Amino acid sequence: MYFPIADVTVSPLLLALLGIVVGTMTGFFGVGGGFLITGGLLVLGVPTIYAVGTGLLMVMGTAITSTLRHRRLGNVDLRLAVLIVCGTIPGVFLGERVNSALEEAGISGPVVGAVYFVLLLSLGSLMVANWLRRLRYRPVRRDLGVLPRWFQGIRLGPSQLVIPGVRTVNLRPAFPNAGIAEMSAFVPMLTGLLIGFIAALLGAGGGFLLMPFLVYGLGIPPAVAIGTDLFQIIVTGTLGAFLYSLGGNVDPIIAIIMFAAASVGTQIGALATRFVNSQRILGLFGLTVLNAGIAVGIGQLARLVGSDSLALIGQLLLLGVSGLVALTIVALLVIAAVAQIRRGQRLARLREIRSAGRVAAGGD
Amino acid sequence: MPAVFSEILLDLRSYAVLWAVVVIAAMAVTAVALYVFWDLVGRGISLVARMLNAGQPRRRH
Repeated sequence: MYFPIADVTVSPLLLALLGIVVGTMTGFFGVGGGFLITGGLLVLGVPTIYAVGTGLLMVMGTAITSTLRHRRLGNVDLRLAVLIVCGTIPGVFLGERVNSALEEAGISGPVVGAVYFVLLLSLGSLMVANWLRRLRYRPVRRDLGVLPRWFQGIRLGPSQLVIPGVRTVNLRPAFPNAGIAEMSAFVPMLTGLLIGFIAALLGAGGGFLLMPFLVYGLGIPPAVAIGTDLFQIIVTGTLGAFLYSLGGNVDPIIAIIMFAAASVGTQIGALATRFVNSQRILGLFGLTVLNAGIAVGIGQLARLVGSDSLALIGQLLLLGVSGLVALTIVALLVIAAVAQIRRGQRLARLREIRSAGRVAAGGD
Repeated sequence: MPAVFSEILLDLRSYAVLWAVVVIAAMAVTAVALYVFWDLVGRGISLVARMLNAGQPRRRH
C-alpha cells in the first residue's frame, strides 16, 4: 500500500503486526514504546524523520487508550500524574532547547545516541539484576526501601500554600492510589521536569525512565506506576507529535493503521497486569530495556563504522526480542486465565460435594 | 488509497498549524473511539458470561 505523506510503500499487515507488539508492551509495561515504533518503521523502510514523527503520534494514541483502561482498573493516581505533568511541560521545552543547541553545534546525534545507550543499558541491567536477586532470595519486605523512604521524607519548600480569601492548598498531600501517606508536591514536579527534559533530548516519551523511578524511587506498586506513567506520556507524546506535525513530518494514515492494531495488544497487556506477578512485569521490562540498549549500541557502532547491515541487525534484534517478550506476555496471561478457570472448577466441585454431604446428613 | 483522498491530505499538509491540529485531533478521536469500542466489547463479554452462568446455583459466601 502506498502512503503519500511519507512517500513510501509498506504492507499494512506488517504495520498491524508491529502495532500489536507495541500495544501489548504499552499496556503491560506502561511505556509509550517510542523506541520500538521508530525502530520498527525504519526496518519497514519509512524515512527516519517520518518514523520519529509518526512514532510520537502513535505513542500519544496508545497512551490515551491505555491510560483510560488503567484508570478503569484503578491503576492511575491522578493527583500524582497531574503534578508530574506540571514539571514535564517546562522540562520538554528545556530539553528541546538543549537539543537545538546541540544540533547547531553539530554534536546532537552522537550525544543523544550515547545518552540513550548509557541510560537504557544501565537501567536494564539494574532491573534484570534486581529481578534475578529477588528470584533467588524472595525476601519478605514489609517496610519501604531506603530510596522511597528518602524521597517521601524530603522537605521541599513550604508545606502549604495560602491563597488569601480562597483556600489553603496542602503542599504535602497524600497519594492514596499510589499508597503514599504524605509527600512533598515538589518531588513529583521536579521528577517530571527531569524526565521531560531527558525525553525531549532523546525524542522519546520518557516512560522507560519514569516507570522504574516510580517503582524503585517512590515505592509505588508496579500496576499503579504503569497507569500513572502513561498519563505523563500522553503529554510528552502530544507535544512531540504536534511539533513534528508542524514540519509536516507525520503520516497519520500509517499511525492510525498501527494504532488500530495496537489497541488489541493494549487490551491484552493491560489485562495481563491484573494476573501476572509484579516482579515478573519488572523482570520482563528490564529485559526489554536491556535489549533496547544493546540494539542502540549496535546502531551507534554501525553509524561509526558506516555499515548498513550492522544497523539492520540492531533493528532486527530490537524487533525480534520485543516480539518474543510480547508473546511471553500473552502466554503468561493464558496460563493465569487457565489457572483461574481450574480454581473456579475446583471450588464448584467442592461446593457440590459439600451440598451433597449436607443433603445426605439431612436425610439421616 | 484513493487518489482524491491522497490529494486532500497533501493539500492540507501545506497549512502547517491546521495540519498539526487535524492530525492530533484525528488521533485523539481515534483513541477515544477505540477505547469505547473495546469497553463495549468487554461489557458484552461480561454480559454473555453472566447470562451463561444465570442457570447455575448461586455461590454461598
